[in-house]
Amino acid sequence: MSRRRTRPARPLLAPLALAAPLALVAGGLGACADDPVYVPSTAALEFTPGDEAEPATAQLVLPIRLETEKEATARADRAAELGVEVPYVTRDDLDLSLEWRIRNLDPDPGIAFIDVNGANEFFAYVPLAFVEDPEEEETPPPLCGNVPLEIAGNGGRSGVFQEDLLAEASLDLELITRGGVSPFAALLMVDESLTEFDAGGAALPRDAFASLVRFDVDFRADRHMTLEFEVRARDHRNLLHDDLADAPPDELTQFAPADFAPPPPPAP
Amino acid sequence: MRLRPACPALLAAVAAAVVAARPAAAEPRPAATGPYAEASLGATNFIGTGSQHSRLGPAFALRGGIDVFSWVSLGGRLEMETHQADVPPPPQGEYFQLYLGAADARLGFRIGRVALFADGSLGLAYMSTNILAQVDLLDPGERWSPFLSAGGGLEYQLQNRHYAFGVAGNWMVLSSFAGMQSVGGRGYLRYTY
Repeated sequence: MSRRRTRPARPLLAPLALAAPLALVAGGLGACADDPVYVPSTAALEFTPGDEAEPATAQLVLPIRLETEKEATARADRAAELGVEVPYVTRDDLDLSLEWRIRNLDPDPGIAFIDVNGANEFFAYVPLAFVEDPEEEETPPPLCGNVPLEIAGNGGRSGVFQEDLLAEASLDLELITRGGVSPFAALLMVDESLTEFDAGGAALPRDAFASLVRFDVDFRADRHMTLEFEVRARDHRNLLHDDLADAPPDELTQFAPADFAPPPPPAP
Repeated sequence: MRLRPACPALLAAVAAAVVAARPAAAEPRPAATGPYAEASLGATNFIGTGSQHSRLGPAFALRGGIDVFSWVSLGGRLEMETHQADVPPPPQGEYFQLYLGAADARLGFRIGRVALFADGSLGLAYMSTNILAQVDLLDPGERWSPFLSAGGGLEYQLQNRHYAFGVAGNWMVLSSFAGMQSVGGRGYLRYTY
């Protein structure tokens, strides 16, 4: 019985053959840091039209874990350096998007509106706070939304307020509140390339812009409809509590943002 | 059709030549044994409850270990799967990844160029998002699950004793994720040092 001679092994082939799957697995493990987390709203909003019907409203607060001592110290140092308050949750920490679905419970087609406002850890944006005389003054637009959405009879429609839109909303809220910019100006302009703005005499750099941590959603329609929504967050600093809304309250940061009231107009 | 008288002799000669020319079928092709590395590409699909909420997805894996004997190998594996989630919207069109790390054992035998084997794994799986919590396949805050898998396959030994190709299939159960189960298939290249 003759033994066949085998060709000498070419060791370089093995690493090459294994490189592609290794890169895929390693790349996948590396991507964990940006994996999204879905924070659902508590219940669906239901709107029934009528003469006196107020929009259906819901509030979703992001379940942010408690700040560590090290983080608090670093934030205090940064605030002292800048001469302005630095938020615990910055705009760079979270990439947020809001996903929604509307169902029309009426056999006739209808139009629906979703208005998204909200708060960072300092201030909440309430458009009506800018209106002194509702008969004479126009209400400022919401941070996002206010777009008519056609919904087929007994049909449904899904959509997303995407990350860039909510990042802009976070910045607009900062400009309106700490920047003292008119909401009409802040909301109608795109400020995504802004690197700093003047916050009461101190320059507030981009890495100290606060993020939205609360969403106030208003829903209205001309037919009987429901709205379900949730926030999708890519958390770059592991700020969201692992148990999300099921976390014990004492393990969550309880923000208390004030409804922003615009300063009175200068005396003539 | 009638055979001519010369035909039986001719057929016997051909048969003898064929037998003589046959490769030594029982002789196993030389195959290295020892430390090995294996890379695979395949697809996995959930079955049972999980199948309603996730779709077929690609799977990439790396295995490494040592052939303790020619018929038994012990090692480990790292694997990544990607699936599209199929949950009531919102959200819609979202994907999740499943990362697996496990200890592997494999038993097999070789018939010529082909080896048959059965393998099993015990390890931990990590799910990249909580999207399946919406359909109660994950509990709040739950991302890790122990898993058990079992399967088998066929391996073809190349002329170079270090290399082999193979195809394999397996079944897996993720005990913490509401007992989600999956089946998968893979093609692989194995290098034994």
